[in-house]
Amino acid sequence: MAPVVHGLEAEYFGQINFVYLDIDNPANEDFKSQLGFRYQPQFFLIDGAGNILQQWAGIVGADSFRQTFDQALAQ
Amino acid sequence: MKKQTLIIFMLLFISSLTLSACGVAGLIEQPQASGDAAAAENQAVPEAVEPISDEVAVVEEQSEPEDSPAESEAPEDAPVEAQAESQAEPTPTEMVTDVATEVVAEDVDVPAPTPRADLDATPPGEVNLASGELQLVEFFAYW
Repeated sequence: MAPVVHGLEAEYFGQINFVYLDIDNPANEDFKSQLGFRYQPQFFLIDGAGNILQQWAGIVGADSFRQTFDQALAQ
Repeated sequence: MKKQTLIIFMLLFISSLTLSACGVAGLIEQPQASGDAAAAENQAVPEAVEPISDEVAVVEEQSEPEDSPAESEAPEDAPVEAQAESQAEPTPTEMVTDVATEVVAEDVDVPAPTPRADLDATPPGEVNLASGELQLVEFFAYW
């Protein structure tokens, strides 16, 4: 999944901030509990207030990300 | 006595009939057998000559089937024809490369040049979920 997400990071650079959290790092336990992490890879699109707009788990196509990103940016 | 002689004559007659029948059948079967053998040889020769050129086939028909020179020439001519055919048709490697390029062209799904070539984690201290902008948070593992 990483290459697709990194490609999207370049595509949406300056519009969406991409954060990569290592699930094995104990310092990320708070983020895992706040967002409701279940298993990796898992993705959360959150707005400026930290609310979850959309979430994905497992293998996700780039088009699915794009569609949600464009909708969120249009609002 | 008459009965015995009559029986003896009858037996002799029957035995002579059977012997003559066997002899005629043997005479009839021999030419057929030899003809079958010759036909089998004639059929076997064209099958062996098929991959050979026309000139060599003519030589074999004139000579006896046991002649080995014509047969020994066959492997020399056959590869030449095979090479000519292989030059006309596309090689298997060419076909495979064509298919491979098509598949790659279909599967390419955006992945643009990435600013992060390797998968590296964002330091937890720099993460703010309420940062005031849209964020995509990915939970991943190195394993």
